[in-house]
Amino acid sequence: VLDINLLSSVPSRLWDTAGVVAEPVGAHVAVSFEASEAAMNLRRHRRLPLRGQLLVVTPEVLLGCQATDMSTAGLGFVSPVQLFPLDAIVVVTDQIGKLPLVVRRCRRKDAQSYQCGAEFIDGAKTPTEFRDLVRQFSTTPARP
Amino acid sequence: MPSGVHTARFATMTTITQQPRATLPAGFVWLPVELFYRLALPRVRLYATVDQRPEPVLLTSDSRKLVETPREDLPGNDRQRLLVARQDLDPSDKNWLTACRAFASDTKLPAVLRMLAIQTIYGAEFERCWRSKSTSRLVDCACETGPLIARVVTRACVSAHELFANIAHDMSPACHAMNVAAYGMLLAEHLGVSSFAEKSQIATGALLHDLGKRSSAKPGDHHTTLGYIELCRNDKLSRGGLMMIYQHHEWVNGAGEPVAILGDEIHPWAKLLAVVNQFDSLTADDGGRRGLDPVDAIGTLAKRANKQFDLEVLRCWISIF
Repeated sequence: VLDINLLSSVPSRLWDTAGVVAEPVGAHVAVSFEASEAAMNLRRHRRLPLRGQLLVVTPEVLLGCQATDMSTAGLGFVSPVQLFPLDAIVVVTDQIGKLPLVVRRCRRKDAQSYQCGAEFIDGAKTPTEFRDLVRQFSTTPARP
Repeated sequence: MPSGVHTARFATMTTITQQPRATLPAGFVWLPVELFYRLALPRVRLYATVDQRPEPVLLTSDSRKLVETPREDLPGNDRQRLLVARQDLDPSDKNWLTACRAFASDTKLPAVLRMLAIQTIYGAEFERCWRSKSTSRLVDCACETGPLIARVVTRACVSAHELFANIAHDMSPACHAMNVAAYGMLLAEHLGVSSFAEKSQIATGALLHDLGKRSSAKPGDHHTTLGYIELCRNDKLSRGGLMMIYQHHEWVNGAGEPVAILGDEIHPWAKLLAVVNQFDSLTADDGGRRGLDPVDAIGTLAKRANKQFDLEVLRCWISIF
């Protein structure tokens, strides 16, 4: 069930639309180590823009989502359904495996998608852990 | 559609009558006179407003002596309600709550007076729990008060006009919560909610809807989200009650907070709460500002039909007035 390549079992309309929804950063899967100065001043944890497909497992459903950014505290992604604060989810990718998170925020982005923010369930990552995580994300293969 | 068109359409739907309401002097609360005649309450000083004097006049320094006075001899403008200084009302004294429960359960008494007793006495207890910062105590208080309000405020017993004219209208958390719960009961009944269990859950959700305002918010945190986070693991609240807390500032056109969901995704109980919450906020006296009259408040709500409020729910609320 958790095999990301079993795409037919996942409600994945977002995977077809989120490429338009998310701000383009060049490649389909790309990592940028630049964040705007204004955003950095307001945030405790620096966010890195990130693109990549995620499989988000909730107790009810498997969701095809798009990652938007990542920080040492958690992950931002676009979901096709509304998630609620404190919902426990597991993000699954080929490279990272399972990453348990807890939803903190969710806001509608357009008619078909919600911008969500989720925190790592085991607390903020150390700089080394974070670097490894970003590297793993950047090597996650794009959907064929 | 221009907002004026909405207003005109709503104005023709129903005849809205202006409701007079007495001004509650600062630092005082109303209690039904009947409460003192019927039940042994803790001793308090009782006041009344006499003629046009702004300051209340002391009637007796011992409320238990009131029973020696025939009701028709009571002075003051209002023979149904007397004033008690807010600091004299001690909700930690369980006698008050016991007496209020007995009074509220007496179906021979007018429903507005029973609701007034709940608003004042349970309101004082609610305020105490609100300030204590203990979420579980506040939830327990709401879970006890919600069913009481659901039992007292029914369309058969009280009209929206009577209710509006007899209850207090200020922006204290307890007064606002009690008013919203009472209005919510009337609206729920008119919308077809008939089960007592559901009405109790709606009243409880309405009482707790602003719970998140107690929390110290970080920038970007909406009180609805904070309230939801505080209560989502609490099994005393139903899913609908929880959605009332989370979604009562959502707009049907998707411009609300915190998620900006569209009309279909908003829980029906949250749509109901959105209307009565805004109505009470508009009609409440806030510091030196006198609240709007119901007609003006309804006019303001009508301008936001199909934008902020669900049209059917709003139409139903207007038809009640």
